[in-house]
Amino acid sequence: MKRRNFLGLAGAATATALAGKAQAAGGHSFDGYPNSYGVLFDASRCIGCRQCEMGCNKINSENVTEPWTTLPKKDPKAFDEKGLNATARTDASMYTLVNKYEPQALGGKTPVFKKAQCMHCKEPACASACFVKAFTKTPEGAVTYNGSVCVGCRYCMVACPWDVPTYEFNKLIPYVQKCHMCHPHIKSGKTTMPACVKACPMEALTWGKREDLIKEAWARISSVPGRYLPHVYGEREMGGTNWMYISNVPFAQIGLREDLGKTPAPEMTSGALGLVPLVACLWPVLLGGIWQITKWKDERAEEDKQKAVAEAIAQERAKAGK
Amino acid sequence: MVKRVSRSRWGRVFCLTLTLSLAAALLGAFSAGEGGQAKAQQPQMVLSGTAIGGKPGQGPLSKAVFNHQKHEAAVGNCESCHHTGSMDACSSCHTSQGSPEGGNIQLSEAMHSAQAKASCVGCHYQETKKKQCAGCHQFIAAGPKEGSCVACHKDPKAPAPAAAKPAQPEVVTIGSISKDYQACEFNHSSHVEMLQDYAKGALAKGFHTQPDTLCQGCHHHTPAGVTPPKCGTCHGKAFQKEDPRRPGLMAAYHIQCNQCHKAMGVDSPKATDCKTCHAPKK
Repeated sequence: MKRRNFLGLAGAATATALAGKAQAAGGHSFDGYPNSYGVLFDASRCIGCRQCEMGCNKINSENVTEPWTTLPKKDPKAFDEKGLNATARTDASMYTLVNKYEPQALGGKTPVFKKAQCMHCKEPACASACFVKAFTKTPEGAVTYNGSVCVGCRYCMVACPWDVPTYEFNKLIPYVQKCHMCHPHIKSGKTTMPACVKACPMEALTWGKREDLIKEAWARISSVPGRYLPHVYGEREMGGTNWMYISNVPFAQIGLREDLGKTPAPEMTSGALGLVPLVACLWPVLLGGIWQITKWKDERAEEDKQKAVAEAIAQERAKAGK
Repeated sequence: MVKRVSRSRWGRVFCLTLTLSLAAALLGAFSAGEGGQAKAQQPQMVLSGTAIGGKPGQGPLSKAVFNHQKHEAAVGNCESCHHTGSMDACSSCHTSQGSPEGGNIQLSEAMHSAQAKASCVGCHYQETKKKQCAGCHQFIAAGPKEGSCVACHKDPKAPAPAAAKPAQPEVVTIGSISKDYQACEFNHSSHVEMLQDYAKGALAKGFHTQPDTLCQGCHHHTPAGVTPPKCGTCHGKAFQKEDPRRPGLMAAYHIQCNQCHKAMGVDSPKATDCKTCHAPKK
């Protein structure tokens, strides 16, 4: 590559990087895909029957083509009431589970249940951390995973604020496992809504468009003042999620973090990451230029010296020749 | 640290005076009570508030009938309602248009605010949170409803509603999923009897104005005096776009049973014990 071409390319890259950075810093906002679907969970309705877990296991263990969306088949007896506790987390064998809490807000004895699964962020931290683009935020609302490109770095597991993605540590060809909101099943027509929602006998889970769910959540909160806390968890948390919660007890007491803030995870890193192309393009040019100038200066000095020496010798010779 | 101060002579005199005056007051109260026995037949009624539309019996709403004696006995202390400690009429501070002395709270608000502790409606709303009431009342928002005005604003001369006994089944067989499980036998009469037992107090009787008000706890939206339709008449598929507030049939049944049992503290059968209602097919 000629020097002129290289400098031109570097300049163009720098300009692009600068423009990209300016965009990220100046009023970045993504309101989410319009008409995307989501689920609303009502903690005051859940009775801890674990039908959602059974429904999830059934649909994701039978006739699934992709190995990274296949769960091991479980016996229905595995979903008994004794298995409920406050600390269990999803693992590679399940996309969802119900936790049982005994919150202080209700005296510490009345059980309150919460279903845990992927929150399907509007701007997912897992997708922004993944450098092979294995995660996709679909316009329908789900965050899906493509195991065929996954390299197994597990950055997604570190990035997720809700500890959702899990890893098949016990497999020879391991994949990340995470709820996909039944996106492939709804696409293929296997079901009309996520299997967990369909299985819920209490309609503690409500399926619908995200905007409608927010309206429904606030309508429930205002219908009987004092029954719910005036907060729709997921409406703004981490920039908003497609899976949302309303509850009659503080969210911190049913295992939902309240310290996450409203900034989407990609926005927190976009500033720093936006600088990477700038550094990568500008620094070689800058350092190379300095090196080149130094070299030119040395060459010039060497040339001058040679010239002066040659002149001096010529003069001396001329003198001697006289 | 609390430092104990030995009683001075003045302290003793004060104590003695206090004891004597207390005894005198007790004696006085006792004799007054003797006299009051005769009056107990005629409970002390207070017709309070602004009659909307004129004198009792002359407009759409009469003055509220308030039985002071019963309420005094029920709440135990005067400050529950007379929240300032003064025994003046409510309207002396809470004027009809509101005044700075009454915190600019109008008389109607002072009587009907559902969130206030000392208002009629607020205090009664707290009562509905008791276990034997919460089953039905958890679904009913706080505050006066259309049609509930006459519970208080009633014409004392109006005849009491006839004690009709709506026809009701002994057992309701719910067979929506009888293909997979045995049909669920719901013991309707025992539920009704239990609720009637809970609601036989004067408070519930006073406010359950119609003979079948109690039925509306489950048969919501069915007007009094009408035979309720089957649940499936309105509750069908879940998540209908036109009416997101209306649960599907499966959830309508489970919400009705489970939420009521939870609010009333009924532990048996457990909410997760599927087989008690859905027995496997033989």
